[in-house]
Amino acid sequence: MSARNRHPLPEELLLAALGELSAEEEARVQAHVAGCPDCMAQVAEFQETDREFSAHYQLVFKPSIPPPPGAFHEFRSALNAKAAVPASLSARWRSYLANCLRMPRLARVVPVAGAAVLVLVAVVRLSQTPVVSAGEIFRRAVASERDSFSKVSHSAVYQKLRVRIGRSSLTKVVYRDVDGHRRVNHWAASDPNSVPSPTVIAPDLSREFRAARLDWDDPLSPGAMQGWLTGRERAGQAREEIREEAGTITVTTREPSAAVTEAQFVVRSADYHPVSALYRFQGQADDVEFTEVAYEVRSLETLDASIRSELSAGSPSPVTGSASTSALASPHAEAAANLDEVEIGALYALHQHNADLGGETEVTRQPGAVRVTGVVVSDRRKAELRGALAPFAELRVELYTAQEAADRQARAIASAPDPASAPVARVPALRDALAARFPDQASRDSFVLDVLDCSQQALAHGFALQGLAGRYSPSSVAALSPDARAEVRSMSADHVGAMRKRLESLFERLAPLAGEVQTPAGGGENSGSGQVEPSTLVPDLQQLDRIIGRLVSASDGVEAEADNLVREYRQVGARLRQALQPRK
Amino acid sequence: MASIPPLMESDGGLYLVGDASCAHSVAEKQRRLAQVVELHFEELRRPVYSYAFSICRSPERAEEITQDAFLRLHTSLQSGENISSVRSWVFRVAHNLAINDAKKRRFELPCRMDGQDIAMRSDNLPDPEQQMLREERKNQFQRGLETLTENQRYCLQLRAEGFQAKQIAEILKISRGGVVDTLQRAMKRLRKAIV
Repeated sequence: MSARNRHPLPEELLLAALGELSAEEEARVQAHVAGCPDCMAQVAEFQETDREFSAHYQLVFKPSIPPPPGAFHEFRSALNAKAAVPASLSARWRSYLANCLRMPRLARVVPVAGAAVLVLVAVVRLSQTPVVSAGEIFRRAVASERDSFSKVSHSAVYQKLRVRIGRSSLTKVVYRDVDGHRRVNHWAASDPNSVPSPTVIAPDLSREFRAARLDWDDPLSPGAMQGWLTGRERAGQAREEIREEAGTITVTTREPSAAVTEAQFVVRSADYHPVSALYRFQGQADDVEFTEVAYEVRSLETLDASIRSELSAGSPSPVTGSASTSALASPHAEAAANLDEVEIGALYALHQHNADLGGETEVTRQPGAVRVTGVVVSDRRKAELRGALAPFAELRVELYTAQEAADRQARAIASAPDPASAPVARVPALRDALAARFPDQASRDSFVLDVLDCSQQALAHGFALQGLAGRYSPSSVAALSPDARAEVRSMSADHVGAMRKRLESLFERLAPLAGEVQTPAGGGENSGSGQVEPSTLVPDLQQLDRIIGRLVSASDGVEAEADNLVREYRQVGARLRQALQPRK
Repeated sequence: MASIPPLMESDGGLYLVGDASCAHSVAEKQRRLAQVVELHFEELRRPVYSYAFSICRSPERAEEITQDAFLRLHTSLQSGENISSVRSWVFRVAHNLAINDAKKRRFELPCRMDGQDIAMRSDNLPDPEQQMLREERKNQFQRGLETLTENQRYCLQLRAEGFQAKQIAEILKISRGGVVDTLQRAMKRLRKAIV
């Protein structure tokens, strides 16, 4: 048997298929393959599998994965930090001095001035007296921040903060649209297993902060720090200690009798950029420390589209740099902590009490607050929901019982038509069939009520799902913390499941009267996308609800109409069943 | 020129930034090096992120791993390590970081490559029949991939990223023969599921 007739190994055929054989091997394998249909088929099969998997990987798998939540913002600052060498410090001093003194002509003598400043700093440190006053430090910090914004058109700030509360720590990413005064916060626990969610920690703390007139949402803004100090100076309580070491300046204020017993701000001496803040509160064992992990000023256009859209919908942030009028004088300007988490937390709490159905309650986002409004059936229900929402201090809860609501808006309610009175005078399209199946009035009424109830419940779940999908787009879901994401998903899965159950029970009840609703082809196999699309679902549910109302409760009484309605019912029903098929 | 090899080493010399002999000061070299790493990062971060995500299944961790891999690249280049292919090197580091991360969490992560576990999606494909076919195709791949071993999956993915067997061997730290054997088994198994 010649070498030509020996079948190559599968490995060799694969390498031939991938074009990775050496010229010599290639010639040998090709000589065999050309005359051997089996091997030729194998090579073709390898090639096809390789091509098909690559296409799947590139076109299906990769586009489906969520984008990196931080959009790689940290990389550049981390890289710059690694690349930074002492030699560049003098350059920073030079630019800082030029900016600070605002005397361009001096720039030429800056090397000399820089040296003079260094000597001065050394002298000052030796004599243990402060470099400048605390007020001056923060004034420079504000100026330096403003300056950094002026270098980028329509600037946006990306800032990552570590928030340490006692022993637990959380990470928060803040995107700030400087000109639009808007901001979004993304929270993430550094260790999701050991740290309670910020909704548990933050409400208490943000209260403390508000009480002490500090800015919880922007704890490292130089404006807020300046405002805090100015306020204390005005109150005659200023007792600051300024320490300079290893490239930072630390300003500490202590006052054992105040709500905040100690505050410590650290700024970089190179550009007066605040890098950390620490607060101790009266009667609180845990101190709170904010440390900047990453900071970058970039143009708004370079941010991710999802972040940009969140920013345009986000809560307005107070104007920094004039903190004496914002963070200090007006407590309202302090946006509430961590509203995203609060909002989902509230939605989830209401969901667990079935209060997100049928418009019983509504959660809305307002500048600096999350509001829950609603009209409930009884005082007991009101107390129950208030209890469920109690953990969220940031919420504005406005719940009224039907009686209270009626009292509040007596005229509006009175002028509205009584919903129960309208359908009575009209005749159901299926009147005869109903009468035949339920000869006695009571069982007929109970059947009709059941059917209407099922349909409305399904519709209510549809609306709830639509609201959820409208509020949380796929990209914003991907940006949420894992806990919050899980809550959003579990809510939507609940709604889909409940909707399916209601509809199936509806179809079952109506089958003897209006016939079976067709089951989608393919049996239990998932033939749809497996993903529910609320924007098409809700109109179908509304239409179904309308049809069912006319079938069993009130139609125009035209005989021929019944057939049309039944046909429509089956069409819409089949469409819904198809859309809601369980995923295998 | 040969005195600072890190600046010259990259895939096919794509990122030669000026003439290295001009880099007089330490600061200038540092700046150049950061620039080189950043260029690599811009080019490779997406595939590396996808690959890391397919192993650790968490966007946060995949992002950290990706950034970490390139910061390590910076460290290695700075210390003068001779890197023949930056692409393989970064994938190898990201692979190891992702594997370690997944191991740390101690539970087996299901391999899903159809993207359905990721978010509420709202694809509006116009033709339901075509969508059905795509869905079916996706499921076939999913079933096929579930029958593979981890190494078989990694080999296939790296192959889909355009690596040759020799480079895959470098990334996974196994022999080239091992890669070829694994790949041909993986392809045969996957084939059974998709036809």
